[in-house]
Amino acid sequence: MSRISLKSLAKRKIVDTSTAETIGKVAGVVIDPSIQAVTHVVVKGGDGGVIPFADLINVGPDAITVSAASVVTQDDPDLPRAKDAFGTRLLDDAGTDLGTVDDLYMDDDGGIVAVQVGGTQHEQPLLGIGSYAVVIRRA
Amino acid sequence: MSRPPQERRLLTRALAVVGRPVVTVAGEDIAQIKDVVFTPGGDVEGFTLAGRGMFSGPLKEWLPWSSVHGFGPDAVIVQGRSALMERKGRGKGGDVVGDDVLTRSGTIVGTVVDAVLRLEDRGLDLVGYEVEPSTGEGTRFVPLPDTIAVTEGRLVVPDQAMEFLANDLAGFAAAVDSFRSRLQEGQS
Repeated sequence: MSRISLKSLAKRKIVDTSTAETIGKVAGVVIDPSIQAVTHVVVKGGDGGVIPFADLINVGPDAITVSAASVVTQDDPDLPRAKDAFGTRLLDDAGTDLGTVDDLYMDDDGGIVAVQVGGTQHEQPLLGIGSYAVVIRRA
Repeated sequence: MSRPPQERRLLTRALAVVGRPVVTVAGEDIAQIKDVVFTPGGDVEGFTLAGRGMFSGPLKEWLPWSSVHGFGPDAVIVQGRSALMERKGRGKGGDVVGDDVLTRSGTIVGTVVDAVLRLEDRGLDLVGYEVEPSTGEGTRFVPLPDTIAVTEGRLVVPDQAMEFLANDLAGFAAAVDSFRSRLQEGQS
């Protein structure tokens, strides 16, 4: 199973395979910490909006593919974003500061599999992405 | 709470806990520690709180130890805002800084400058005091028995405590354990 850097998704094209048209670029992803997974891709361009992760055909190295432009739905800005995590301190739930979050990684199904701080990828379950810290279970 | 042994043995000065942020598992900082509240038996009962930010004052709520999810060097982790409880007539709770520590046979060990806490499985235990001797030498760490009466004014420790004084925190953990097992031997 491949590991996809969420930081690397920024500005990746989103292509509608039925028309071969680019419908926008990735502005970020929405993460639901309660299921530790990416739930939506945020679209930049056109009218904006979000695409549910389940509606993606694939997250390819050069483009994210979808079957129709109609998969784009309205955004809820209150949902936690991966980009809010970048540059935030990483705490484990035993109260230890592990450094500053550089990147998050997901698997092919959108599940968050690691939080990167410097050269280290922490693979404990993600508990929350807040304004003060990203919290993971202690090792 | 279960933790790996090396974490469990970490000693913390009570004053070092003051100002530590209280953070939810969702990653929001909702308060900071203002003061440590002790039980009469010398365990930590919880913490009084202040708001976050430069101009925020004390909060009405306090944080009971039973609501603490994780107690670490950089943050105190709680499940959510509901961990903060209404404070019902709880005082400051055993502020012993400035009190004299006296042995049972009547020698003054020094004046308390800080309390030393250790994270155990059953909670956060008060294991000793950092005292300043009246002679003006550097501070010493005095071990305490498992249970102790934390009272205002003057604190009395068993004479054996004098044999287990430590000059630094690093050597103090072992001193506490040796002192406590010595007391247990004396009782049996």
